[in-house]
Amino acid sequence: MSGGGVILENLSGKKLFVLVLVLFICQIGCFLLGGLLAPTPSTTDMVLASKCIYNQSNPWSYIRGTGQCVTHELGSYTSEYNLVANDIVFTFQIPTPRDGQTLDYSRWQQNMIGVLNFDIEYHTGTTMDRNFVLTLDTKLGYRNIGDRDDDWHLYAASVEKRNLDCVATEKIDGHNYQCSLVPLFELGSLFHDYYLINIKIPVDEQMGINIGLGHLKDVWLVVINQNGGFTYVWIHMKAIIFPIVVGILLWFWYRVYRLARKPVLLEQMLLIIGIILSCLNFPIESLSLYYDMPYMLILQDLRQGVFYAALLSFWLIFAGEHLMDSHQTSILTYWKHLSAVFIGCVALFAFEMSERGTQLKNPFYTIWATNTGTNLAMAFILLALLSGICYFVFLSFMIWRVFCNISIRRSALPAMSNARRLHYEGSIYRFKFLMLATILCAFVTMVEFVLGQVSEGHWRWNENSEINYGSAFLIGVYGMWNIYIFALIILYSPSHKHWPSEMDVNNSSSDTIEFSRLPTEPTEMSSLAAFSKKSAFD
Amino acid sequence: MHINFAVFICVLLCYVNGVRAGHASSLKSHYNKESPSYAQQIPWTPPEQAGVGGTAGEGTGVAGGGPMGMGDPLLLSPSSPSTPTLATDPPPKCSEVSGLSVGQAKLCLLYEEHLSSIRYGIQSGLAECRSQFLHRRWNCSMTAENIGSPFLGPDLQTSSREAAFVQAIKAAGVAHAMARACRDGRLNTCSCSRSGRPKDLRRDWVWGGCGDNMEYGYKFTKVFLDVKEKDKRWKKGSPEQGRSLMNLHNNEAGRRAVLKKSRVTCKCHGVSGSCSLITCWQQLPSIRELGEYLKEKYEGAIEVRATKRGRLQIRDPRFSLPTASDLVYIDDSPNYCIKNATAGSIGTHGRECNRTSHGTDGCSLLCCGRGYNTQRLVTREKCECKFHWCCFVQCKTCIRNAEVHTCK
Repeated sequence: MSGGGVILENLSGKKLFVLVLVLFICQIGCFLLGGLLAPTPSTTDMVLASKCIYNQSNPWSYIRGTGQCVTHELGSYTSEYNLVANDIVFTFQIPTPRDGQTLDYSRWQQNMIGVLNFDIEYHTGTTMDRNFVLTLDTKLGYRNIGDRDDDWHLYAASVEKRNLDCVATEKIDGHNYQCSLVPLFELGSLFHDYYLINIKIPVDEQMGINIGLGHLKDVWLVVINQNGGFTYVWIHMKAIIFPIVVGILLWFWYRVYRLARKPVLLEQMLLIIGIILSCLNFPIESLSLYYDMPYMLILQDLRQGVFYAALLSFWLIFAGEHLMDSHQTSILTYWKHLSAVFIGCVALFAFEMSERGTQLKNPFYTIWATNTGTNLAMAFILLALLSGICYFVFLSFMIWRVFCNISIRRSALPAMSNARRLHYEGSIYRFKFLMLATILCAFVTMVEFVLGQVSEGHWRWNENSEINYGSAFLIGVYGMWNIYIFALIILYSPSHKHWPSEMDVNNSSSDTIEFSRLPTEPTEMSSLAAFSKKSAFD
Repeated sequence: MHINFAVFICVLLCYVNGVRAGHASSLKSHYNKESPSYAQQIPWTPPEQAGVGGTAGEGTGVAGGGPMGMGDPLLLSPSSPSTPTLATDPPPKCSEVSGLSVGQAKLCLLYEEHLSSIRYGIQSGLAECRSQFLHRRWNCSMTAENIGSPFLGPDLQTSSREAAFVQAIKAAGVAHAMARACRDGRLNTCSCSRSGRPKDLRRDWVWGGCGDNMEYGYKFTKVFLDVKEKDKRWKKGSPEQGRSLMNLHNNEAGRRAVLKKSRVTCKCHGVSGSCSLITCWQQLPSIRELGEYLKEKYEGAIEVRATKRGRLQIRDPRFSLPTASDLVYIDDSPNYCIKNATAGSIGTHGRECNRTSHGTDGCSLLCCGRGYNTQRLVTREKCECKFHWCCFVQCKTCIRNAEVHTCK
């Protein structure tokens, strides 16, 4: 067993209530911070492509500033070949001006995702295949404040294939096809001020490239950015939480270190999860305000993934340590269960690296563009899903066994001697407390998740809602798991109450013999005894 | 039990679907709340420059017929792109535009760069009207008396169902064009959101991004088109005031059509691309979809009358109250069979009809029982057109040897 006498058992009801209340208020604070102060986590900007005529002398087509291109409208197609596909460059110069001023991207906006949307008009004579393979010749450039208008630098260029699934729901002339979105690029850092995207849709009769694309009228680019305000709140929250968690971790380890025995498995796990949480809390995002860090997205995903893995492992080991029938003290005893977590994480890591890792080299890359890539990605995700299911089965089975044991011990409790009874009661109490807290946190996470999705998905136009559920979800849930770990570290750290041992008043010799099987030190037994005295007073 | 489970599921769902099509916004009815007093949402400068713009009132500048013309509507087929392009026409200037009300003239000076989008919107709305009503007795034609102002397009003088439709489709066209113009960076003034930004901290755009362009299009259209009706002070309960209220209502219906028909599209971009983070936006509908939607509203338009207290009231209490997206009309429509200048009817004389059809384009209905002439004509026309990227249409030439029926 993890050793009797954690703070949770020795805390009076009143103190526990106050602590939980304070943490609860912190939690509410996090939700309010997200919901009221922070803006929505991300915004979209929808940009309509300008159709530039390609100019041989200028590698870049842009629509604002000196040297801007000549535009052309695609509303009507003519019967003459006056243009070829290679002459038309779909140009997006972002950000677009607003409020009468030229905007530029700020590094606070962190990252950028670009999604294309095609407006293709339906005509009875021309039918488009579903699952049309679109070939895009794309180029991404950037420019900074102070650069000349034509001084665009190449960021990435690539020829990409994308699946475009267009359906004509009503077959009426003049209607647009309902086309699927086409993911274009993902930038892990928004280091520069202006970006320019040039897209050509070349046609090659022999190779069969882009043959059968119908009456393409417009191309839209949806740009998704993190909001600077959200980043601001996020970084500041992390900067506040980080030292608090590190402090409580040091306090915890100091207490464990002062014990006369070696740290038990649960204490080690708490330390590990605390360290991982601190890594997650470390506001490394602030560095991206000064340095170009395109790998920031991967880093964030990795940190979060490792944290989830640690949390899942912790629950498993916690349940295992409270089985109350055997003495498992090594992490190796749980290898079967933990391998489920491990395999799941490795699968997700492989997926992450094949998608976002490749995007470091080529921001236009997506694993979903090709069929093999899609299958591979699905395989990774399925593997992760399977191991997730395995994990749940393991965990549920373990919790079920713990509850079985609890009911067995319960019936035997009155017949037991005092100290032994208290030991088991303490164990049951600890377990139930964690179960309750975990279920509560998971439930709140779920509710917030659904709320965030619904509030965003159900576009509430014309209602100037003051609450951002999306931010409330992200910041609130982030704060909640911090508070959860924080509470665990405090409540499950070894109690030093009545540290100088008192007389073992109630212990009979038979109990001592029974207890000798347990890896508990006399001092801890005495703390149990102290607990028994205290509960007698209460 | 915990987040990762949700994440797993969502990764799957979101990647399979990619996009989640959402639902149109539900907007509350404003029917009775919409009293003639409106709060201005876009500020304007003090009226020092008033009077520079066009003169108030309708009916000015008839000569020439305006760019949208009333020519022969039969020349316009629904598939032929009849809307003018923004690129070809020179941008209009406030001083050249006539037919604006006093309030509109003030707005015009402030937002001169919006003019070409407004013109484009009105003309594409009218073109859509013509294509929607191509096979009806009233084919969105206007007589010279109804031409209104060349810039803001014609208005039917009779407060009929058709007048309601024209009003609504023009408003929808403008709102649509404004939203579009915001999105290709043609307009500078489309605004950013200011919600929730702490004062003096950072620029709006960096803090919370920019608001939706559709919202800007809606608001600007509301101010610009509605101010015309509000500039005139009619006696309460007079037919003019009734028409004014009707126009306001139908303007709103037209603008809301843009919102109603817009599609919400979402993308997941959370941890590892999971759906823990989701962002949605609105996709603009095509003008054809707006036309069809408003045509449905036209069929179900509700007849109202102006009360003495200056409100609109349903004429038949058995019908339910019109919502803000329903069309309302005051007068019954003429039958559009014979030329009637004041009612805005050019008659169906000389219209081509379909002998075999029993619908509205059939000869019996279209010709109002007057019979039709039949001619045998050999025509060459384009057929079996194929559209190719990039930019050309390949058509066959069909020689049609057919009987053409025209109404007497």
